Amino acid sequence: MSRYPQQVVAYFHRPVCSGGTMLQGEAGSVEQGAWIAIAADCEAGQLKNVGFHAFACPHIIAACHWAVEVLEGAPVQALQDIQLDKLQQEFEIPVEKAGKLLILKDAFTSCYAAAGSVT
Amino acid sequence: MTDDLKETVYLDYAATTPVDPRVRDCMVMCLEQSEGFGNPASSTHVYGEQAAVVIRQAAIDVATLINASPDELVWTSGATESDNLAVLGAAHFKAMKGRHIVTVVTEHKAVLESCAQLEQEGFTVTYLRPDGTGLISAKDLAAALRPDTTLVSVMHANNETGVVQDIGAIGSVCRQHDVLLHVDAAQSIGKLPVDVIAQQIDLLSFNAHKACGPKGVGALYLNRERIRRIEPLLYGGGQQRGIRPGTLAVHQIAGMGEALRILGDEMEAEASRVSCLRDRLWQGIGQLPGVVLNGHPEQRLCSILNVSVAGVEGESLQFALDGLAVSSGSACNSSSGEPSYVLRSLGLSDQLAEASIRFSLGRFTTEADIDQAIKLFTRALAYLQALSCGASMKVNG
Repeated sequence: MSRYPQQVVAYFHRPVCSGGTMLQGEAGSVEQGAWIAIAADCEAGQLKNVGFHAFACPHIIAACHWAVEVLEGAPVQALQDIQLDKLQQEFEIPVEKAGKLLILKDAFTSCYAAAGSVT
Repeated sequence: MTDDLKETVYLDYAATTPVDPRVRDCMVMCLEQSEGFGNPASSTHVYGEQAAVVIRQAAIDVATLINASPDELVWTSGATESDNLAVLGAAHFKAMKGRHIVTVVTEHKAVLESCAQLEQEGFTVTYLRPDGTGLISAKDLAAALRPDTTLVSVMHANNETGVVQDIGAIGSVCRQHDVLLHVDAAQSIGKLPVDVIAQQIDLLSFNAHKACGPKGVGALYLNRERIRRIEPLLYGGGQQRGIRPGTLAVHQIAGMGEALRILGDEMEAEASRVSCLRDRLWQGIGQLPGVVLNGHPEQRLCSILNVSVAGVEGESLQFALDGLAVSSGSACNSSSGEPSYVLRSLGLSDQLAEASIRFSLGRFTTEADIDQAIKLFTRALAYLQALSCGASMKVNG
């Protein structure tokens, strides 16, 4: 009966994980309708404890949950390789939310930038 | 009933209500061949006469509830049509006297868009702004009236916040200035006493489906002492003095009559019961972090509780309330793509207007429903606030 795709329903309710403390980045604002903060640790060039906080719609929250799951154990470089078109397809994100997807991308990119200053 | 419906607590009575079984039985009777299925305009035979008797009884029941005469009612398809007919019909009929209308920015779209139509036709409309609690003052209304004002349209109880205007005071100002007063009572009928004489109301719009009656039927009360006629929206047939022609939907009207008769009988006890449930709900969720009440804390309907949550995204709030049938001020629920214009006009930020939930209770709401609503709302908030903790800090400065 939900007007959201099954993937959104499934991922939205994943437990909150705040993530690590070594790498942190954020983008967006409440006024923009979406704010996302990414946090992770980095061990030997690999991401650990990837998590997020978000003020966002169900599509974007679900996409964040999916992305942090995928990034766990991946090389740090993967933070800036998030593919928006794949997320858009996976979660059937409507085109009018494209701006919020860009905020998601910016949050991960910002977290990657933090990696540069750490490593 | 599907599992989804069984498992969902319905707290959206301000959107529509389930039909009371007594109303359903009354309507079914009118659909039987042996009962009142005839056309009430067919006065030449017994079928028509029988249907006319059913219509007459419904008019008596409805008129009794608002202290009007049965002959002052016009049957319509619902409150939207009644609002359109009242605003457009009265403004057009009085156009020779003046072309200025006064209304409120928080009115239902059925009134606001009728006013916008009048503006297209060269009328001028003054839109009053309520205070932060949703109330307008009779003094502000008096100041807005002009010599060419012909109509004031103010809703009794707001459909989003439940805030109740002092219609008696507003009616008094209108009468002093010889201006017609139209009141949209779609939300208040049967929940609050409405007395068109005491409150000096000239036109009153309401329907059946907010009152455990059927959808597709409503009524417009016209004070025959003050306005003999209004311009119709429809033409042909001559029924209802030509004000709203068309064959009357006997079973719908019978259902509305029965629904409003029941309201009249049970209003006092029901208002008290529903009010207790609403207070129980507020006690359960009002202390949660970030939750604020929207609208006047006292001058509001017993059945509506509208709250906003700071630091939580509106669409996600609605989504997380799976298992609760409630309305949200979120833009994703609005045809305009904008957050609730009613809440914005009370001074709420976009975020608070978006993250608003309207709980509306009714005849079949139980204590168990309220306790389940408290549980689901608490759980949803805990999750979203944990998820957006940084955003909450930003909102709170």
